[in-house]
Amino acid sequence: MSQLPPSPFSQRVRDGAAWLSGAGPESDVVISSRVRLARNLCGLPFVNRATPDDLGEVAKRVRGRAEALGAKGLAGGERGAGEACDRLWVDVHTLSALDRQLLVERHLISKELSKGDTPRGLIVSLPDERLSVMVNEEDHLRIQAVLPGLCLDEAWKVADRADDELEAGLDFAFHERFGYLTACPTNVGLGLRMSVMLHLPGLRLTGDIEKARRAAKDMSLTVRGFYGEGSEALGDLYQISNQTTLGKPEDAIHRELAAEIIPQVIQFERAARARLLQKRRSSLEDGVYRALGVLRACRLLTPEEALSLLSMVRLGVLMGLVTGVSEQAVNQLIVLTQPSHLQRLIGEEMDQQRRREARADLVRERLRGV
Amino acid sequence: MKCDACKEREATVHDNAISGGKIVERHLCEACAAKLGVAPSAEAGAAEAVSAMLSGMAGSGKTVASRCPGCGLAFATFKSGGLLGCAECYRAFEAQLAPMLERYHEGGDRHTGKVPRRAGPPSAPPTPTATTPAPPASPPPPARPRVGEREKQIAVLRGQLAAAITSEQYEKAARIRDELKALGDPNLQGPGAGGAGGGGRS
Ligand SMILES: [Zn+2]
Ligand SMILES: [Zn+2]
Repeated sequence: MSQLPPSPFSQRVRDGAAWLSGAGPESDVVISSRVRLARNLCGLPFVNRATPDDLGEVAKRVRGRAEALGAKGLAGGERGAGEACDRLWVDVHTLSALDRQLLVERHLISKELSKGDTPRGLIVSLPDERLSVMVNEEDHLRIQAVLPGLCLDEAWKVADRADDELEAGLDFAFHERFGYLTACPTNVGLGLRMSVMLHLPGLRLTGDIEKARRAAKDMSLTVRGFYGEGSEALGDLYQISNQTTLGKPEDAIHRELAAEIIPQVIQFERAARARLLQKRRSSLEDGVYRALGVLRACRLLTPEEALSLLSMVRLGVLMGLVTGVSEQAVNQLIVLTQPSHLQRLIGEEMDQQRRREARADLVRERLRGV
Repeated sequence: MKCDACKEREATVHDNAISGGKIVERHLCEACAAKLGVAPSAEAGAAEAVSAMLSGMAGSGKTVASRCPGCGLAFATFKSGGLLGCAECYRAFEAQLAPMLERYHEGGDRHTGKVPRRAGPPSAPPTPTATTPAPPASPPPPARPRVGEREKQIAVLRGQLAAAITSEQYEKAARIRDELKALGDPNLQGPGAGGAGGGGRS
């Protein structure tokens, strides 16, 4: 098996991703909060009509601006004095397929950005990875902030500040009527998507998940799976986000999500969990302990199976049925069991069968009983 | 070009409609366009007048483009692909895009909220340096006017105006409109301008 060359993310892999830390408000239901701003530079065609030279120019300007801001600039946030804070520029088109996939698994870049060899980049704040900027995705810039738990207000502040700092040295396309101009008119206006990732195993087990899905849709929210558009709700993970971006200010969108809709979904999920414990305790326990049993005993494991079993174990941990396993350990396995993370963790390239073995080994080790 | 409908008057409104799964170009005179609901007419009711005023289309008889002068994108291509090609597309296709955007954004037809902070004296944006004398790439979009303080203020005020009208605070709306006038908001010219506080249908 070929050893993998080191990458800027090699050491970061072991610790998983910060947004999966299990910290933050309402973390029993809300995994993470994300704010994304879409921006385009004036005077250059959007990515879908741009030549490779245009894209190179975009990357050069954005990178130049980010570097002019210095290490302290973009990463932002209130951090203790002397605490290391850095940001990294990554030429995504020069990365190996494995390392591109690694960034996708960490939710730092989209699948779309990971494919293709025209100039494309990523700016990421280290070590927290709470701020990232995709360059030359569907729009010239996609500024993203992500934090664990229900934390949209703080995520907004991080993204908003990065937007201001980038904008002070770059000209963003803006139209007095349509606002920030984006390649897809569904993003025009604020260019804003606020989303939360929710873990809703209780609603699935009580059969109410479709009701929640429909209710969210009725409120013009978009509900998607773990890996975005069209992806299934693997591991009972759902993303809920605003759909419209024109005609409403950002605080109205924030209020709708953070003060109205998300708290309701959280209440539904908690009520479902309580109902399961009261009325169907033995089947709940059976599901949780079977999942834990399989994960502690298996020798081959696919990523899909891992996610769905981990979901049940996470539920068991949160409901006090499983002790000796931390919520964070379970959370981090969500990303560590993904193919590229697994290979980086082991340090070698592996075929599918070998990955299934390694995945089973990793999960057994991390969920070992005490 | 004569109007497709009446074959008499000069066509000034050019519209792309989807019919039988195909995109059909229509060239209409202003009167027929209004009759067919392609563009709002100056005689529309109060609500339409307000939205027409806000959209700056009232009685302008503005022709609508089928191709963006900036990037060369055809409107039909956008309709099948879903993506616009450059910032200029939003100006070129404004008339066609406006109703689509309003539908998608559930009535939102005008930006409100954050605007770029950057104002005034341009600290020249970095331009391609001499190190890479790149061959002229695809037709470069014409330089857009910079977003100045005034445009930003206008954008903010328009958002407030729309909000005031929706919540029927007409006095406030009138005040905001005066401010917009003072700033020289180009959309406040034309016959729709009196619509905000106006009553019933004419
Ligand atoms: Zn006619
Ligand atoms: Zn264009």
